[in-house]
Amino acid sequence: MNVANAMRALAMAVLALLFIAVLTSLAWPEGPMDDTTNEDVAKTLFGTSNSTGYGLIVLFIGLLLLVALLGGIFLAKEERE
Amino acid sequence: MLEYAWLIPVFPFAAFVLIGLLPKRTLFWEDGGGYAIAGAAGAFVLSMFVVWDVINGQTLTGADAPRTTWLVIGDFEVKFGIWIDQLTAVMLVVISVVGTLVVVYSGGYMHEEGVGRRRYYAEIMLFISVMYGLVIADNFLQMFIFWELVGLCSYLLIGFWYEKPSAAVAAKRAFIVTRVGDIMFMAGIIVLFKYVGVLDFSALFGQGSQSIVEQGLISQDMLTLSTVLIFGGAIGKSAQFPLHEWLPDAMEGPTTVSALIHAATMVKAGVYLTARTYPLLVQTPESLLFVAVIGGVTALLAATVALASNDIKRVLAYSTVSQLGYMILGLGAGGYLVIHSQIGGGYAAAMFHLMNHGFFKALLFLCAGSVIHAVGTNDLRLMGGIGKKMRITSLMMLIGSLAIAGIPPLSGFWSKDEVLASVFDANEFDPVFALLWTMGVATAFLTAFYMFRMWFMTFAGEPRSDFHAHESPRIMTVPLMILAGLAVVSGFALFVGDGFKHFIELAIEPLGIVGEDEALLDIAVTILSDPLTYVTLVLAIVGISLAYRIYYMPGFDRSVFVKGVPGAFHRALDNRWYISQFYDDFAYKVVYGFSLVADAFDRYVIDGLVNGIAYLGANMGNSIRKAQSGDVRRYTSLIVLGIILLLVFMIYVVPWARGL
Amino acid sequence: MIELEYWLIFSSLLFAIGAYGVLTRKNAIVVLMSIEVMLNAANINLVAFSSYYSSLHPDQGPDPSGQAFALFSIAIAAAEVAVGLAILLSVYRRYQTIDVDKINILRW
Repeated sequence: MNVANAMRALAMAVLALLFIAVLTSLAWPEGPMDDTTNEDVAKTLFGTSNSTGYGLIVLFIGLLLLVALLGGIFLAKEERE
Repeated sequence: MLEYAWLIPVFPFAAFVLIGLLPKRTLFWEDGGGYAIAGAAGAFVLSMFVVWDVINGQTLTGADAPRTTWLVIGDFEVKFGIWIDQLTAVMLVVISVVGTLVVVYSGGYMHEEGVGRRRYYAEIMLFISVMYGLVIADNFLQMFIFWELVGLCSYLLIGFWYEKPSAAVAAKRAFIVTRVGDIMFMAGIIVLFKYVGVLDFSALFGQGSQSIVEQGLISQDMLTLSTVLIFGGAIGKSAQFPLHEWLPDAMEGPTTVSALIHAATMVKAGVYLTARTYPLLVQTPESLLFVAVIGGVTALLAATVALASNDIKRVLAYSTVSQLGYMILGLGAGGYLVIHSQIGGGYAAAMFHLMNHGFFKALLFLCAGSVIHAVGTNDLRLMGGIGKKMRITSLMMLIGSLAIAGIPPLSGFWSKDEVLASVFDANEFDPVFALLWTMGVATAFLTAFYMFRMWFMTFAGEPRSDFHAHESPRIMTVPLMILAGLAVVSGFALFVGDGFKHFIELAIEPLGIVGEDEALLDIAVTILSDPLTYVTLVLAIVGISLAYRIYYMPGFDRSVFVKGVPGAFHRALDNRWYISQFYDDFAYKVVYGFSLVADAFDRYVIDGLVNGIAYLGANMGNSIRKAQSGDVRRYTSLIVLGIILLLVFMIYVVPWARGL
Repeated sequence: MIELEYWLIFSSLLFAIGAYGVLTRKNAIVVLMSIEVMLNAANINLVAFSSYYSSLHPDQGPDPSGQAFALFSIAIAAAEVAVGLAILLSVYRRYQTIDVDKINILRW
């Protein structure tokens, strides 16, 4: 491992230590973990009869994914003769 | 009638407009000459009425003069009006008589001129009208405007034959040199205006005996400064030393122009200005001394240069400068007499000489014009023996030369003697005047000598070259005869009516002159019994005889003048005491040198600054682009480093700074 | 029961390791993988905070929005990797290498 990499590793260590130092200095509340079922997640994502949820955003993200995949396929294509 | 005096300039101005604008067919005789004579004559008639009124005691001065508002800027108003007093009357006489006669004479002189004739008449008319305007002005601003216009007309007329390079150069030179004087005049006016707030003669010349210094409006030093500056304008316009060089060169114009402008009217404007500001000048003895010294020095200087001149018009030009010096000297000395002994001698003498000189100098120039017209050359060395063929002109010029040399009973004698007498009297108040008196006497001797040198070389003896001289047509000789008659009799104005002296002294009466109650005959007796008179008279006669001996009688070896010590002197005179060369040298070295410095400054400093900034920008860009190394790892490292620093900053530094 | 604090420490360590990988490795595909690791660290953060929501906000009920966002994040990570690999493929075709140090044409 050469010098440059060692410096970078040191920098990362500094970053990690920084994060940890900050996190431990804060006061986190005590309490149990929430018990959310998949159903609850599905309810926030797609909505109930009382609220819309994030359905629209899901669609857009899906569109984005589609476009990204198509673009990726295009970029990866071999040149034809 | 005096209220209509403002119409006087209108006649020639209308002629100017008509000559300039009417279609060619309607110009009748001599391309507008008819209109010119009509305009000049109209002004002449009206001027004579005005002068007659003034002689009978009417004046139009001060608050009762009609005024019209010229310029209004907010609360500040400039009013123009007319001011007629005895001084104006004298000037009107000179301008109207000489102007009209010159225009008549031009009818003959400019006969073969061709296309330029119309321009000539138009410009002459413009000149005459603005000259009238100058002398009837009632405040400094109005006078200054007409002053500048007169300078413009002079430029146009000197450069009448503009295709000749020497004429164009002379016109430019005249304008620029008088401009130097004009700037000083303007500066003087500005100083006055700053302190006193008005430029009207009626306000500036005080009420009764309380001067504006006593009114606490202006300090004595500032008043001296402003009067000296205003006199600077007179130096420029009246071709006094050191701004005299333009007048000899102005002879490039037609002779009638020289006669009208540079002998009888425009150059008198400076003397008129000095006389007009007498109420201010007498409060500042230092400026009076300055005035007198300049006058005396100029008189002598110009007379010496005239000795060596070979061009008939140049001799007359230098003689004009010299005689103007006399007038200015007379005014300066007269001022001292007013301050110290309450008599108006010098003032009267100077103005008397102005009037007489106007007549005989115009006569001399017009005669010279006839000669040049007949012979075709200006050079004295090529002339000779013309007297046999041009009897009338020769006689007229003889009369003019006698007048200027100061031979009684012609007019020059009376006025020159009055001037020199007043200079001599002033010497009891300041010894400088004794020196100036000797300069004046020397000038009188030289004047007689060089005038007769000119006369002998032109009219007497044998012809030195081939030419066909003929007498001029009557349209040219009649004005000559009228002027010669005036040159003879105008001297006697001292003795007519109340006498010229009393007349003109009325103009400066508010200054507290105690009028000498001289009976008119006493004046003559005083002059004729004063030994000083005979000194100058004898010198004049000696001068004439010397000229006779040297230039008429054969057997005198004139080359003695150009060898050895006299030779060096002669060369100096030939080069006009090297003054022109000095000015050119100065302009070249100093002004051009300064412009070179300014150019270097512009090129290296200012352009350098601009170029330097551009250079800086380009170089900075050049250096910073090296940061784009294309190395992805370096980029990400820098990003992460930035994040770390930012986090540290936000978490630790900001709360610490807040706690301060 | 693992305290919230430990989850967060875990995610930051994971982030640091991923960042180390991005900075250090020569192989471009490994760099992409390290980016994935960093994204996952962020996801863990999201889910952790979502799980302890009712403790962090005592007056509100549990809120699974964080987990929903984590789903989004996974999807976007996938898309990004797809595009990144496609670009890498083109780069390989052009330069015959995928060493990050050797691909430095976009420079001054």
